[in-house]
Amino acid sequence: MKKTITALLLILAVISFTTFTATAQDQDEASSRISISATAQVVESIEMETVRDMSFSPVQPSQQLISINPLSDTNTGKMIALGNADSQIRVSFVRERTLRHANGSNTLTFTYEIAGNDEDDQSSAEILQTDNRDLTLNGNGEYYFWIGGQVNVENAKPGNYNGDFTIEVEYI
Amino acid sequence: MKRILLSLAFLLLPFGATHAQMLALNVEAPPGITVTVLSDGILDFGTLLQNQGQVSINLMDPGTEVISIEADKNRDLSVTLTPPPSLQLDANNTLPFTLGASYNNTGDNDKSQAVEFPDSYQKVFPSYDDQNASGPPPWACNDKKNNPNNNCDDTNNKNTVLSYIYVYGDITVGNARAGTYTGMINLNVNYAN
Repeated sequence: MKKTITALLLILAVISFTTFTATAQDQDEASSRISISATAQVVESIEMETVRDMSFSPVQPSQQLISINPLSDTNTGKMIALGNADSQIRVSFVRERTLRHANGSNTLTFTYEIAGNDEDDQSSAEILQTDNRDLTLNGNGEYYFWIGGQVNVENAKPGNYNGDFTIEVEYI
Repeated sequence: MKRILLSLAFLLLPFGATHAQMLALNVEAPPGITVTVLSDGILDFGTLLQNQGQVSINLMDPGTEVISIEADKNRDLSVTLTPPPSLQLDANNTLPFTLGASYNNTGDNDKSQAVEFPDSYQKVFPSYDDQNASGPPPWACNDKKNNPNNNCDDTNNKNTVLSYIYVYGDITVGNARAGTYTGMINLNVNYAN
């Protein structure tokens, strides 16, 4: 009988211990801790460097069209975009710009053609549309532009004509 | 002698059964706290330019992090957020960071009803506060007797309710070196009573 009582008391002791353990675990679960991360990707500003301006040979009276081929002409303007290596960029520009006579109200319309390349190689560059989103700076963070185009001078009055060209480059 | 033994056994067996019921009572003990990140777990300020200045993710922005806390509906929660002082690229390159945080204990995941944490980012609030809530309280989902026609999902624990924490903030980008800046925001939750 003593053995039986001892055994039952032992069982009760085990049950009591189990009860205490379960309660302690519940108390541990009554708190919780988590972490979330905060992140920001900082990139360098894109800078545009003008290597050279577009140049025109003197226009002859008989000439009707001045054309500078952006893929092959040495008179093209040249610019380099400088930024974060291997970053995707968006390039956009206005294709037609007005050139104004230096001493009058006469104007000419210049139609730009741009070629771009992530290598410093004009001949393998690609002609860019007015809005390009799939371009990437090279491993040194560079992208090259050659600026050419066409202007009709058939009815132009003699004199100097001036205008500007705007190209916008931004990270995607 | 055998009779005495049997009698003792019968007397003791219900006593053992009583202990089994005590174990069952522990199941009904106050439920634990379950914290779940409902968003992606990354407060992402995106791609920023050097010297861009202050950039903010505000409470109502989609980039805000949302965390749910499932806890005993009758108890107060003590919630502490610990932000990093800055996001770091490395020891020498940091972006100052200011944490923003709000909570909603009306039972709804609704930013417009959220209350901003104090500057200490520590707050004690009831798991459920129905002062401004409309409609049935969350646990009404489980009360089929009084709300027989509710459309709630009543699979959750009857004793718990959900509170929501919204995490956002500001960083300031100066002449920082390019790269990925990171930091960890810790959230501690326990019962206050």
